[in-house]
Amino acid sequence: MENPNAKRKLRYVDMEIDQQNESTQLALEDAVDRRLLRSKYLDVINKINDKREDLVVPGSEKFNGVIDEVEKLHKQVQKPREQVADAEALLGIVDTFATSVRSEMGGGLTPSEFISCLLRDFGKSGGIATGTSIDWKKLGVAVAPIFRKFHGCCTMIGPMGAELKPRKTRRYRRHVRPTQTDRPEEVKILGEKTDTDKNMATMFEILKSKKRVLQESLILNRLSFAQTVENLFALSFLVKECRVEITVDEKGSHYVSPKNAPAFNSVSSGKVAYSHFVFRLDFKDWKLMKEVVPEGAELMPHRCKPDWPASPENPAAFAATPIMKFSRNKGLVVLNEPVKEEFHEEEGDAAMGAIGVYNSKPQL
Amino acid sequence: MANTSEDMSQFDVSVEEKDKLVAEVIRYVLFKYHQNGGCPIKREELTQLVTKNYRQRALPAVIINEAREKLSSIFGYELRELHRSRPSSTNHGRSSQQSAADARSYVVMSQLPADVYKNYVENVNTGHLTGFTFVVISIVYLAGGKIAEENLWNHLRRMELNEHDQNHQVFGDIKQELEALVQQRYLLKDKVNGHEGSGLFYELAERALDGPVALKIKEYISKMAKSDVNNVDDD
Repeated sequence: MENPNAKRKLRYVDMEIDQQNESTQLALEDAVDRRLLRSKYLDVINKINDKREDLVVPGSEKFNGVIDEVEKLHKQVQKPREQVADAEALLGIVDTFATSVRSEMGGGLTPSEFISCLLRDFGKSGGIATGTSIDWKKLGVAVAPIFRKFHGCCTMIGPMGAELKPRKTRRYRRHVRPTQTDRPEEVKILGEKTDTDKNMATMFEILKSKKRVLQESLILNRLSFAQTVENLFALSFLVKECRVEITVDEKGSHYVSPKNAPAFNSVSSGKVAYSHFVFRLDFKDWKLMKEVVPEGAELMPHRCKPDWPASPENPAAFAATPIMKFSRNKGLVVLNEPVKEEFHEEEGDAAMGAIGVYNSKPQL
Repeated sequence: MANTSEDMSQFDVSVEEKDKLVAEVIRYVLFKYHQNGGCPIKREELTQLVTKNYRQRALPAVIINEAREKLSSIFGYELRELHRSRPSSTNHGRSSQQSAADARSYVVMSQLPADVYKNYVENVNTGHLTGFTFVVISIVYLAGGKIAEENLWNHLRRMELNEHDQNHQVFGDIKQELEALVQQRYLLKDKVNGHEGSGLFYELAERALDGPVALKIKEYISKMAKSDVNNVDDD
């Protein structure tokens, strides 16, 4: 005998299974529909991005088509994911129009049209790829007043910092005086007269013999301006020592005559006093002197230079300076006494006369 | 002068010290501008010259203002103050107070009349850079103030300026020249993450949005648009 309750239970289970299957199928279908809806929204968004410029053209049908499509898809939106896709599509449309409105403020020019204008106004042929390029320098000069650039000063060398560096403190080394042994005193050779002394002596001898001479005749050396100056120098020392006096006659000529120096008492008591005056002598004055003084009237002898070549007629021209020489055998030798060579005419070597041969003396 | 000495007395600074500070600021502006290659000088750098030795809070502002007057009267240069702008993608939710505290910078511009500047001052040898600056700013402006990097290069390619060209006969490395515009604060470079993925965008920066410059750019573009219309009408 069949159980009616069991049959009823089985029927309920079957009905539940059928209901579950149905709902699963519905869920699957729903997921597929939603996926399809989102992919349609993606297509719309891509269309908005690709056809951006066409959408904003006045009277464009594409905008109406896009809006209608978005409206249709919007009616099918139920779940959050599709709502996000719907919002993104609307955002794309709004962005496109906001950009278009901003670009309308530029005189209604699009970037493409602007570049076309540039190529028309500043283009030059001869470009690499398309054959049309821009004359950038010409364009730059035309638009320079927009920016009015300041290029800065480039004259600065060194670091940018304006800080004052403190001066380095100098360290002074203590100056140590050299000791006495470092600086030996000069040795004065007794009896040796300087050239000035010799000139003074010569001049005084001339004055002693001549008594009263013209100053120009006394100091002039017709052959040498330098020796004229040396003669004047010697005369100044004689004047300083009060051994000569210079007088001026009514014609203005200067005469020099010898005199004795004043006594010490006269100097100390103030009867006799020193005074100075400047005697100017330059090269022009020397030339004038040469014209004034007759030739041969010069009193001071012309002095020859000691390094002039020596000759037998002038044995005094031999150098008398001792020459030190280091010899390996004899050691340090001093070449002092000149030995005169006999000049043999038959040898015919006159040049030998110009060379002196010295005795050598070893230095102990 | 009496007002100046009164102002300085409130800072406990002598007139000579004030003049020295002003001279330092002017010197810094003149030489730093060249060293920077035309990039704006930050206000912080100028205030540091003053605050290095002086603690008074309002003193830097007084010094900078006087330096600005002297630059104008002595050299004929205008020291324009710019407020550093941020990319539009990061601007959402920023309050006005935060915007006011943005870094300030200074650029120097000549005050000569336009025709005098064009005829006697503008260096022809660097004119190509000025032209490039104008073209790029104009493209970004006409694109609504913001343009994707790819679109910008599409437009530049029409004028034989390629992104990968490093040996252009006029500009050399073109990408570097574009980067220089970003450093000189004519453009902002911004990375935006969108539904299409991340992309680089160029926006107008504070120097291009500054009043006189923006106005002149619009004038020139309008002139071009009118001449284009005239040409079309003639055709």
